[in-house]
Amino acid sequence: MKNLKLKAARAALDLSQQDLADKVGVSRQTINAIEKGDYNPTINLCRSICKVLGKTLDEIFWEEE
Amino acid sequence: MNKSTIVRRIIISVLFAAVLLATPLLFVIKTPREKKTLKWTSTIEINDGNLNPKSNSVDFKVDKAGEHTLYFSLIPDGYDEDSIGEVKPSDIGFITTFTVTDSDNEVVYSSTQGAIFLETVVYLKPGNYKVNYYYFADEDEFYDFESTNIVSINEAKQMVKDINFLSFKENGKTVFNYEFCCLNKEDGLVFPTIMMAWGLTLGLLFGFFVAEFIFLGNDSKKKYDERQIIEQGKAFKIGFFVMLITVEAVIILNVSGLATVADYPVFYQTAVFLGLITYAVYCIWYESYFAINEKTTRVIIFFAFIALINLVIGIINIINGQIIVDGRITFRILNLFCTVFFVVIFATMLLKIISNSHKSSNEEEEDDE
Repeated sequence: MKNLKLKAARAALDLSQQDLADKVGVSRQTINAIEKGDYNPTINLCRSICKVLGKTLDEIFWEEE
Repeated sequence: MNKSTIVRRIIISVLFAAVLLATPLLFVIKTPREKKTLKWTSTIEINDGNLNPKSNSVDFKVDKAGEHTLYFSLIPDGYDEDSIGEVKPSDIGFITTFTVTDSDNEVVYSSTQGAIFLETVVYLKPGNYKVNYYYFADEDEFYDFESTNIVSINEAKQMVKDINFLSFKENGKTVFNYEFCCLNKEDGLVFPTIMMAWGLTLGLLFGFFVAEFIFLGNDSKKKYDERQIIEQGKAFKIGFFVMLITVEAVIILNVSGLATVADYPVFYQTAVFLGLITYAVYCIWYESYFAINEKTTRVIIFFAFIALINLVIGIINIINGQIIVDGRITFRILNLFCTVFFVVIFATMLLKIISNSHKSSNEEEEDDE
């Protein structure tokens, strides 16, 4: 399932996939895969992404019913 | 530069230097051929067209049945292997030929006329053999020998006509240097095998050396993210199974006797190449081949460089007819395999770029190249 929350949070900070990837220390393709729902990141990577985006885990990665 | 990089570089440098510096030692090794070659000298005189002696012989023994390579060399003093073509029978006054006979005096091999430097493969059974060297200044004697031993009557007549015995000098003497060697198939392969193994070791170390110091050295601390490491694991698993299946197929081919179409290294290297190609293609397709901090342009240039070198060597081998020898594919085809390997890698990269740009335009995915 696509992670639109991540995409929106990133866009809100005017960050490209590459910018976010550089900040969390992964490849741009990995951020792309997370947004497309092709890859489930580890909790460590989720936390790094949330810290950069200034959001909580729930806000980015929790799926609402 | 961290400690482990320094240690690795020192190890590669020392190994490369050691193998390179030790290479001249290969030429000191006495090959089985050098060990077993019989060398002697004989003088053949010609007085008024009469030869003395008319023949010579040397004995040798075969211990094991099988294909044997026989090396004959019969070179007049003052000439060598390179200038042997300049020897004119008319100047020395006679023509040479030789036969190999077994203990029952049966001829197992006969040379054609004028053969004074020759290498041939003959199947020999265990026993005692004799090489008989014959010299002919008389065309009738030569005709009798050729027509009964080697060729048809018409061919023998033509030979006598072509040689033109009448133009031969009738007096003089010639010192001949003889060399003869009989090697079984295993002995004949010892030195080429050592040379091949040495060449492969040197080539691999040279490759490591170039990669470490020229192309990839600064990227020695490659950083892959968690997704890339997971994808590499999957790629490794698939590549490993592809290699395993290929090795099993090679074993079946070997057992069934179908593996004779190529040298063994070709089959096993094919398995390695297929495993590697699978790994590389999977990693490239799932964007986990290049590290985050890796300069891809430099790696691609390095790959192109290796592919080009192998392509050039492959073309040279094709031109020299060394790829297929006696209907059998030789290990020299591996250079072309290597080129194919890199072509597949480049093609996958290109397809991935096209696929990404296609997805990007269809799904409006941000930043997808």
